[in-house]
Amino acid sequence: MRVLLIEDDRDIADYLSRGLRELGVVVDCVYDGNDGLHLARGEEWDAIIVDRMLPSLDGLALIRTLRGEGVATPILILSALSHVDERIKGLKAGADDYIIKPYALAEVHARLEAADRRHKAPRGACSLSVGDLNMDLETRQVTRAGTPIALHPREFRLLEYLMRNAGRVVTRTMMREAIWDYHFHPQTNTLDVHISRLRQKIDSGFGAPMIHTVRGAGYCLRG
Amino acid sequence: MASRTPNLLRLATFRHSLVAIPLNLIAGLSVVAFVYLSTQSIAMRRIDRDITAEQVRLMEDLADASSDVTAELIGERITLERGSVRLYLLLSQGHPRAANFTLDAPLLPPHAITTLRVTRVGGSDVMARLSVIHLNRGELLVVGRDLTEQVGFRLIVEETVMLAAGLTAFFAVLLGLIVSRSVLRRLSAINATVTGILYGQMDRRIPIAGGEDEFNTLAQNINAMLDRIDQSMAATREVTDNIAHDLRTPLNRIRVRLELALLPNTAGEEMEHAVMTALEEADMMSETFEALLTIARLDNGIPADFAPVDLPALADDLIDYFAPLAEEKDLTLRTGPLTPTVIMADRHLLFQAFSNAVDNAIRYTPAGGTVTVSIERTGGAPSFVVADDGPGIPVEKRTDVLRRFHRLDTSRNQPGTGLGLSVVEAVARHHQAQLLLEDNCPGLRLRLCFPADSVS
Repeated sequence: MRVLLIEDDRDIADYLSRGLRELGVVVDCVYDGNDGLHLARGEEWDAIIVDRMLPSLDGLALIRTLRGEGVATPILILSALSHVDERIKGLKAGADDYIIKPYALAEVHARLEAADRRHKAPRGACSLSVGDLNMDLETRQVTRAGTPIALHPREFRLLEYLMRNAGRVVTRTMMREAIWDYHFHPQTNTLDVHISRLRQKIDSGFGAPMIHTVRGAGYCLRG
Repeated sequence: MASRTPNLLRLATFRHSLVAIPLNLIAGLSVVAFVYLSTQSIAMRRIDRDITAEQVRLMEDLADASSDVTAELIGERITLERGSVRLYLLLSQGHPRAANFTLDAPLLPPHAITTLRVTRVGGSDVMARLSVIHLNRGELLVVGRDLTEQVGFRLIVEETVMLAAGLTAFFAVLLGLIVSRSVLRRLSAINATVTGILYGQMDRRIPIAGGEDEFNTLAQNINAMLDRIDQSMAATREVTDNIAHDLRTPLNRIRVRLELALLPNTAGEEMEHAVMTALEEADMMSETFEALLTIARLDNGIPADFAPVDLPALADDLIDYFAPLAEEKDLTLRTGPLTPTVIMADRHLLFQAFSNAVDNAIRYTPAGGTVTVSIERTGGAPSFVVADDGPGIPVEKRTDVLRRFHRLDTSRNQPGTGLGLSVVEAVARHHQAQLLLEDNCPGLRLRLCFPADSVS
């Protein structure tokens, strides 16, 4: 995966570049908005990460310009402004995701992959398959190794999200946002319990477990 | 900074009281002038009538008399009236033939009654009221009256008026000083107390005298305000103390673990664990900041970005989200009546607030208990209710728990930021809603009561 990082804070840029490179992502970094705009136009990227507050060019303005020119590359915003209004502003400007500082490397990586997947996924699939797990999106039926599994609607939504992001790390924040539109840190970690329930239905009694815990990051569904 | 109490003479009350003086004077003088002028005009008319009557009598007596007889008659009259106020002057061809006064004036207009200065024979200058008649043989008879008495009366009135004016002014000033001193004394008491407070004596209060006057009301109000400020400051002190604890503790733990990780002979796994724990603590601190920021933003009044929110649907989402957790803790999470209601609100904030409430209910209800979420409608006002059958919150602690970082257990070692209910309260205020903590007998019933006009 090739990512363009536009971030003026050298420490953060350094941290993200090195961290992402460790995870196998190719990162090119620029420290200035105008340079970033220039590079974004000139070359092909799998994703672009933009800091909201840049000298010389505001992050949102940069995104609007790119979108206006027809650049469809997935764009992620890094921002210290956490309120939901700001997130909405960012998404309206054309960004695909909005990450709030301080962020975990795993979070950035997971969201990059998710954005990449969404961008490249074939539209209108009517079923999802990972290993021997199959989900029919029309009949809302789930089977594993041919055995039907009865799922509560919330469990279905959770599994669907995991399956769509199969093979990639999905963070708790991503799941909360995608499934319940929940944009705050809850007081209690409810999500782990949701996953635990899902595991009981999907994994126990079958072959190898498919839902894996990724320490310090989240979960991953793998066949 | 603090101003001294002003000089008595610069006091507004005193200056206002000085205004009374000219007003009083004008009033008094007007009355006196009116009375004086009325009495004078009555008196004058009486005198004029008297003069005219005397003239008529004389004319009768002098009907066809010769000039000698006339002179004799007038002379008799003068003698008769010696020492009285009547004045007579007979002029023949311009020369006085009988008179008890003289005058310097030129020819008097006939048939007119005028007031002139004359000199009495054997006496002094006086003011006189005079009337002239033409007699047959070119003689002029002047009949008049000495006005000394009237003039004297006027002088007395003038003197009295001046005396009265002086006394009025004096008493007005005196009264002004007395009133002002009284006011000044009350104000000084207030100023002294407030100055004391400004210099740090925070527990002083303005003394309240007996009675219900405006100064006491002012004093009571200022004292109430000072109490309120005291409470605010105490609350802020408590918050800062708790923030200090809640942030110092994880900071310390981070520090400790990272230091440990740096010790020589620390196995790679141990180091990894230490660093991971440090990261977790950092995340916890981050959450605390986020909650504080949310509350601060709401407190500072961000513009309300409301859209229609279906409350029963939101309640269902909540149950959906928390059901597994409740199951895990062996609790029953159910919905009570969900009265169909759509209100204008911020869904994200509501979800967070309701979520905190349900989370708390689940956390504090022991195994086997029940948590019920309902949407009620009382008289048009919708409310969101979370009821549990746990231990509840004792009545006396119900205001305390809403304070930032307050926890019922003082050891402060439970997980969570301690800001949960503060966030709920801030969100409630943002929506003009009321947060009520009621007794569920047993347990706690948390109610977020929205105003009736929020229903869309």
